[in-house]
Parts: sequence; structure tokens; C-alpha cells
Amino acid sequence: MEVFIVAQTPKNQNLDPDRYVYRLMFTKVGTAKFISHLDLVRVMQRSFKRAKLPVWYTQGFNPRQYLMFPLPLSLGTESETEFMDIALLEFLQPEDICSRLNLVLPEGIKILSAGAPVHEHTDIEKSDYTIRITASVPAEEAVEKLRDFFSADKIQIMKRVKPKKNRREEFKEMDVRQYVQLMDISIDSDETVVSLRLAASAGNGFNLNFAPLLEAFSAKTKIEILSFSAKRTKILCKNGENFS
Amino acid sequence: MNGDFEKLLMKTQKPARYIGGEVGSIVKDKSQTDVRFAFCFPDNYDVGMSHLGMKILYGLTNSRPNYWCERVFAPDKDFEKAMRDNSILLYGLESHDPIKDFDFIGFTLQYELSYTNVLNMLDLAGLPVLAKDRTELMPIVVAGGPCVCNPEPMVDFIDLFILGEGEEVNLELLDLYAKMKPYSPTKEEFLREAAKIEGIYVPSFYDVSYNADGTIKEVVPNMPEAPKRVKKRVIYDLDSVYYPENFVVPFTSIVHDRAVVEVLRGCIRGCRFCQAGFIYRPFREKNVDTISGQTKALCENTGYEEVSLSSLSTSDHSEIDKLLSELVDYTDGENINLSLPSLRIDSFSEELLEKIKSVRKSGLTFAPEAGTQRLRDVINKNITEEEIMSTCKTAFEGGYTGVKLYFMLGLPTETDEDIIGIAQLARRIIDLYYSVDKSKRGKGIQISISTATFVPKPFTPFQYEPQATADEITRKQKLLFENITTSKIKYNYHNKKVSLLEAVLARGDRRVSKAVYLAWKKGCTFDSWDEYFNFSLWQEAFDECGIDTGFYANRRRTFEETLPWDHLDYLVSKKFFEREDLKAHKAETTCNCKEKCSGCGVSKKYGGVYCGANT
Ligand code: SF4
Repeated sequence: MEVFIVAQTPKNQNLDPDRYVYRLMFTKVGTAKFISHLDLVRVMQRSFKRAKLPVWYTQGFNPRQYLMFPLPLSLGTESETEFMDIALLEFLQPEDICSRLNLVLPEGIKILSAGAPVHEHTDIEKSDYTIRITASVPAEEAVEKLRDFFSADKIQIMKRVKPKKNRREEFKEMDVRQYVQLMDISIDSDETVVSLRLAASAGNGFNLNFAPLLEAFSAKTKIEILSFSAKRTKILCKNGENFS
Repeated sequence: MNGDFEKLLMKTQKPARYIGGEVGSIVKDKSQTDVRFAFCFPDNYDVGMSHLGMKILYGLTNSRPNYWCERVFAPDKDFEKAMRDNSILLYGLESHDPIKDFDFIGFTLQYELSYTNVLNMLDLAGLPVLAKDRTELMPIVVAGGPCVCNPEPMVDFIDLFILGEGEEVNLELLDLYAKMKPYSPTKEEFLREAAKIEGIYVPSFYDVSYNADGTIKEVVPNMPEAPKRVKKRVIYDLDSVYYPENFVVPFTSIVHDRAVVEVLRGCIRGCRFCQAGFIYRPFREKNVDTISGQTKALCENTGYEEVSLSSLSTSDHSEIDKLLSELVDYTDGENINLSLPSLRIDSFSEELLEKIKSVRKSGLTFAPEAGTQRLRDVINKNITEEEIMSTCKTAFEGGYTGVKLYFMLGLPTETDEDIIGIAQLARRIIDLYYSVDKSKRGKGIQISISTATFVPKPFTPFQYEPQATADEITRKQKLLFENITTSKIKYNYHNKKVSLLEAVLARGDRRVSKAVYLAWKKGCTFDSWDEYFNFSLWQEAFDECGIDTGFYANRRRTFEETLPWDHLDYLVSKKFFEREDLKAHKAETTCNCKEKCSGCGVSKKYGGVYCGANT
């Protein structure tokens, strides 16, 4: 029989210690883009422990580290600008937090700054992405077709529905017109890679994943996407400021 | 990582299984290393990464600056297809280099149903699956783990086997290789030297002859370096042996995602069906300071919020109270959960219970294995109905309403009465629940009974016993089913054909190797996964090489017969197994090692706590 030993009385009960909330800005690049959001939460919790940061634990029988992410990132997308909020029991210099964490974080995840939160999570309106694509047709043709695709009235994608246990995965059709906007499109100097700047609306529970978007493009235009990479470059608030 | 490979990752489920780069993984400069070792677990990442032995040997090998050990797992079927379609060879997670260029490829054989995955991984690596077709020195394909106590069904594929505990012998083997490699020896030259190391079994150095009735006549070495019997390796002192202070901490959640500290090896209880209870003898333990020190180091370095103690039976540690109270002090202060698998609650002292104050059980589970006391005596399973009842009573009073019971069907001497006894035991637990005061007990009792088919294993007293045939098991399952008359009892049973295959592979000889090869050729992999297990392909394979599964699974062996593993020495004597088998048939029990040493043949010199103490 497996036995878990935990304390009998709930911990931290009626304790309301001084807490210092920090907003950390970090990157998630390279192979770290294959770490799912759920896994990222664990990576962070373990890193705080390894760095011996005095993190605040929630109350109750099963205390958890306080950790909030304003805008989860899709699996497979890189980012220069991710955020999470943590609460510490002691005041620490921001540089100290960054350097201690950067020593124990996996490659590709790097804390860029720590500081007091400026905006509310609900202030977030959209985020910007850079997408780089190589296609089976000349770059000029791809640019033209991509422009058409993103300016159409409807952008139908097949969204994966989380399969129930022991069921095959399912897809449902969805129009993402209202969620994405093409800001800019250009051809890189090597003349094969097409760069797109997309703005995706955020904060409404919908999380745009680029693979199905590009599959929809391929299905519609019969242009094959040979490779693509996506990177989040900005998170913007309703008032136009960069989220911080 | 190139673009094409990334594209495949984007399409696969849980790509984090295939990228490496986890915290705690060890990357070295390959130009500075002399020996590269690919440690392969023949199952997927989630299962393999949970395995303690791999963590130990990974850390150990990498603790030597000039050796580099990397991890390799079987890709899931979707990613295997992607790899094959795109000609990607099986690679080490640390360097992403193809493992076919490594010096060693080492498999751990934890269960028989992973055998076809070994072949599949060699094939995915771009190597010939048959050992005889790999004529170059590199890579040497080795295997260790519990199944290696009878490795005969795998001899066609593996160059050498490592018997017993690996901490010393693995390094001896790598040291030998590092010493010889500059002189470019042939594979045979290397294997001949390796065979001189205690614990190394080179199967091609032995000839097996057979009697007319199909049994083995004799096994004789055909090389001067090969010993007549190969003896397993044992670590004498667990306090001084290497133990990792850090683990590779996976990104994706795995089966057991936590820090693990080994507290003891071996088992004092000689359950007669249990192979682990004999092949890991003698019983040795770490002292409390060692365990606490290792617990702290691992928690600090990994950042895990759960730590588990590992052993065959943690309650048998001689200082369990002191150990738990020390650990609880630490884990409680650090917000770490302490989990104790294989613990007997009844072994807790009042004092300790007071200190721990509360125990959250993952669920109430018992493995009585047999339905009547008589049959429990036959198998020497030391659990009485009173113990089950008293634990259940406390649990019901604490509001628990679910009990899981595990049994085996087809045990030696089993009668219909024993099977009906299973249903009756469950019935009595229900009665017990209703006898508990209504205000205390929870709502709605639910008992789940699971039965597995008994698989006789080498190096157990039951190594001579026949396995019940699939038809008999069907009848037994039906009988039990008919005797369950309430919906409060749920009955789950195990696929009988899986057990038949396990029985053939567990006690098979060299001839079975051909069937393993054919089954893999026909597409069998991941045999331990219900959704992939395909017995009809295995049956075809057996038929094509003229193997009668009944000969291996359902036949009683005499004490005189030469068993396929008789040339391997796991310290416990054959005489002891014979004695135990005879006692089983008389339903006589044997004391555990702590009560009284029963002289199983293990010498005092291996560090066993109780060996020879009472003789
Ligand atoms: S020699 Fe005695 S104490 Fe040691 S393992 Fe055998 S039976 Fe147990």
C-alpha cells in the first residue's frame, strides 16, 4: 500500500504573512518551445525550489506555490516576452532573483527582469508574433496568397478538441477571423523565407496555435508549408502599452 | 536540431519526450570522452524515466569524467513512424547523436514483455538485431536487470549480460574497454576478457545440448575464459556505494515524477512466487543518516516537491521509526510530500503515529494473493485475515469506503475452495463495513478484486511448477465471477494470454530466442501495452519455429532437470528451492530472515544483515 505522510492540521492557516509579489519577464526559446504550459508550471516551481527562493505557499492541507501566468503560450511557439507572477516571503533585490533563477533554469528559459507588476492581467488585449515560413512556391507567390488568406471574410481552421479518455482525437471547424490580424508581410534577404507579423487577440480564453492556421492555409491554397517557426514578440495592453 | 526534425516534433504528442535538455541531464564534450554508453530503457519515456536503476547507473557512469552515458527510450508508435519515414536513427537524448556510433548500448530488462522493444530499438538504431551479425567491436550490446537471471530467450540479440547489481561491475566493464580500445581488439577478444569479470555472462561462450524429450542435457563453456557458472554481483555496503545526488528532472509528467531514495535491498520475506524476494538477496539496509542525507541532497538539487522511499518492503528497515520521524521533520518544513510505497501500516509504533498525526493513504490496497489461509501458507505470504480486517476497520472508521484486493489465480495446489474463498473474503469485508457505526463510516462501500494469472519464475521455489492453462484460468475466472453476488464487489481480471507469454519467456531456453525474433518481425512491440498486445502473432511465431508453449509454460519440471538458468548463480541454492517447493505442497510456512535464517545458501560475506545469524 502506498502511504502519503502529510501534516494533520492545514498549514499557514490564519497566517497572513507579508508577501512581496514580483512579475518576472522571461524568454522561452529554442527547444524550450516544446515544453507545454502545464509542464512549464512544474519547471518553474522546481526551479524556485532549486534556487531556494523564499516562495509563499498557499494555505490548506496541500500547500502550493503561488504562481500566476497572465497569458499561456502555445506548445511549439517561442517567445521573447513571457510573464509570470510570484510571491515571496522576503524582499529580494530583483537582480538577485534573476541571477539565482537563471543558474537553475533549463536552456532556453531565461529571466530577463523582475519587478512590481504594473498592469492587471485583464488589461491584456493582444500579442504580436513573428512567423517565418518557407513554402513550396516562390516567395512572391506565397506572400500574395498569404495576404489573400488573412484578408478574407472568414479564416476557417480545424481546432483539435481534447479527446476524451480512450477516444480518438477530434477536430472541429472554427472561424478565427476576429482573433488574428496580419500587420506586415515581407520576404527576407535570402529571398526564400517569408516573414509575417501577426497580431492575435488575447485575454478572452482563446489561444491561437499556428500549426492549424497554416494547415488551413495549405488546404485552401494547395501551397505546402515546408517549415515554419513562430515567436511571440510583444504583449500589449488595451491602452497600447507593453504589458509589464 | 534541424528544421525537419523540429517539424516532426511539432506533429507528435508530447514532443518534450524527444528533445532532451532536461535539468540534471549531463552533456559532455565528446572529444574529451573515452567511452560512450547508451542506456536504453525498452519502453517509452514516461515509463523508463520513472525507473530508479537507470538513474543510479546514469549518474554513476557520468561521475567518471571520461565516460559519457546518455538516455534512450523507445519512441511511441507515432514518433517511431515519423523516424522511420524520415530515416532518423535512434539517438541519445543528451547529444542527439545516433547510438549506433556509441561504444556500448545497454538495455535494462525489467519485464519479459519489453523484449520485442529491445529488438525494435536496435533496428531503429540502424544496427543488425542479431548479435552474430554485429561483427565489429562497436557497439557492444549489453543487458542487465532482473530478467537477466534467465536471459536465454534474449541470447541471440545481446553480446553480454550483467548479472546482479551494477554499481561495481559496470565500471569494471567500462574500465576494461577503455584499456583495450586503443589496441583495437576484435569483438571476440574483448568479450573473452570481459568474461573473466565476475557477473559477466557471454552467452556465445556456452554450448547447450538437449535430451530427446526436449529438456536440456547440459550447458558447457566453449571458451577457457568463461566460468562454468556465472555468479551475480552484490554490493556489500549500501552506505558507501554510489547514489546519485541529482536526477534528470523531466519536463513532461511521467509515471513516478518525484525524488526517490533507496532504503534497503533484498527482502526478508520469502514469498514463494516472488522472484524479487530471492534474486535480490541478501537483505541489506542503509543507515538512517545515509538515507536522510541522500533525501535532502536530492530534494535540494531536483526541486521536487515529493520524495518517495524505495524498497521491496520499507517497514522491514530495522530503524523505521527513527527514519520516518527524521524524514518527516525535514519534508514537513520544506513543503515536500513524503510517499511510502510498500509500507505496512501495522508496523507503525504508537509513538510514531502520534508524531505523524495523519496519514493520507492513496487508497486501501491489499495483496493477499490467495483467498484462503491454507493457500496463503502454500505461497508463504505472510498476511492474515485478522490483519486485513483490523486495518480495514480502522480505515472504515476513518471514513474510507474503497478497498482494492489483489489475488493470483492458478497457484500451485489451488482448489475451487480457494477461489470461492476470494469472494468470501470480500464478502466479510463488506460485513465488517456494515458493523461500523453509521455515524463514523462513509457512504457506499466498494470492493474491487483483481486477479492476475500466476506466472512461475526462475529462481523461486515455484520454478518447477506448471502454469495453469488458459482454459483452466477461464474456468477459474468464471467460478469466481459466479460467486460474486453483489454489485458492491467489482471484479477485474488479467489477460490470460499475456500471462502465458510471460511464462514462456520467463522460463524459456535458447530456442525461444527464435520466436522472439519472429514475433518482432511480424510487428510485435510494446507487448506490455494492452492496446498493442497481439497474441495471435506470437502464436504464429511459436508455430513457425516449432515451439510448444505448453512445454515451457504448463509442464512440471523435476528437481533433477537441468534448468535453462542453472549455469547462472544467484546465490540462493537449488536445494533450498526444492525444500521450499516441498514445504509449499504441505502448506508449511518458512520464517522470514529476521525471525530465523533458513539457510537459503547466501554466504555471510555478502553483507546480509541476518545471514547466518541463527545458525
Ligand atoms: S542466508 Fe538466511 S538470512 Fe541470509 S538471505 Fe538466506 S535465509 Fe535469509
